Amino acid sequence: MPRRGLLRSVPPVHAQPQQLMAAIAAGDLDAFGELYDRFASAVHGAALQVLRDPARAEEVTQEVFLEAWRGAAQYRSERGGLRTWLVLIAHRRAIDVVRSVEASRAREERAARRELHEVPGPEADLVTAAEWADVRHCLEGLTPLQLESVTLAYYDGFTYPEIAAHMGRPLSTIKTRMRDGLARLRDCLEEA
Amino acid sequence: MNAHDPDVHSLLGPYLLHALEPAERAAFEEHLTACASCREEVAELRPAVAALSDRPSPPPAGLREQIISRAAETRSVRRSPRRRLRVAAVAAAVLLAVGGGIVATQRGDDRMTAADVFAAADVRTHDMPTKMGAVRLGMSHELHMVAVDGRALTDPGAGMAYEVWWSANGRATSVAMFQETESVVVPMREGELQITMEPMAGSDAPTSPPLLAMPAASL
Ligand SMILES: [Zn+2]
Repeated sequence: MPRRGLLRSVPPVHAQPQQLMAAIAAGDLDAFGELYDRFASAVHGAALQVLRDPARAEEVTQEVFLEAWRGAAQYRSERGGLRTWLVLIAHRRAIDVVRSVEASRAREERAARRELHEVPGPEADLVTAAEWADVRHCLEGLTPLQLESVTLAYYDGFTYPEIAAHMGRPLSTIKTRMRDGLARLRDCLEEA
Repeated sequence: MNAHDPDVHSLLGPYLLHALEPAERAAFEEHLTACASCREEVAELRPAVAALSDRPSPPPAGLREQIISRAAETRSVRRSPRRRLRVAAVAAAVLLAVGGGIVATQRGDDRMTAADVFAAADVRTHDMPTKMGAVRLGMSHELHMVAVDGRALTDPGAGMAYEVWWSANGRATSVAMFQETESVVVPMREGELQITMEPMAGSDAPTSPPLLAMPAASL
């Protein structure tokens, strides 16, 4: 792209995720900065929601972006696009950190302190309050067993066998509730 | 449960929620390569899973610069013969951003590939076993370069890569990073050539015992 410097004040330069990631794969640091500017809050928020520790959330944010920088060539556009891709990398890394630093006992205590319908995370900021209200509304539409299975896994980092043991249910039940819980959530969010 | 177990489809929910132990996760990922219906369902549900994380929170202001300069430092890692020319185009900018020393050396290396070193008339090659597979080293006195061919190594795991160091007087200096599909060229130096597994972003000093340690004199 010639005369890039002149375009710099007109974000976003790369409208298509594929285009942006191709530029990053080619070593374009400006494109990488653009990726950061567009998704840093989403990535950091996803990490902070699970970790609740600013220093660790910052570390995970750094790792996610450097992984995107190194792995840009492997990116394939998918449903939900770049934001989904990055947020889920951040979540998975945050869960790995929680599992490695926090003993299962501590996680159980943390989960027990939370009300069933309370979903952890930074205080809602005004920009996303409306969207988050949709998520919350849709979570409330799950059955108690679906909700508990999904949130213990996703927000507290328990594996499904840990959840089955914790709730005294068969493994197959927990696996199924996670899957149909997510399907119901998807349907509800699509309507919203 | 392995990837061919009829029950493996049922791991889809826990997989999406990151609620699998590593072994089952690997089994399910293998299953995904073979099962179109699970692939389709994963793609459909993923945005809903990501929505559970939709609580944006701006990171501290200094993080942007830190990450970008870190990316600039590890730029050379991503070099591959196919990509060398494009990378060379940003080398000048990186040189300005990082300044002097090692980057300048690596920029010079951009014009040389592992294949060039292995093809040198005076090359000496060494096939070195490591616990992650074999590494082939090639050293040319004439070129004053060492090629490290990591293509027989196994995947170091999610978020990990291999890092090459020159270690002398108890201090290790990072000279390159690569993944299991790559080979790299590093300048010949005094001391001991070492390879460790490190997080992809690279480490300031080795954080794991060397997979391989080779004195320069033995190269
Ligand atoms: Zn399947």
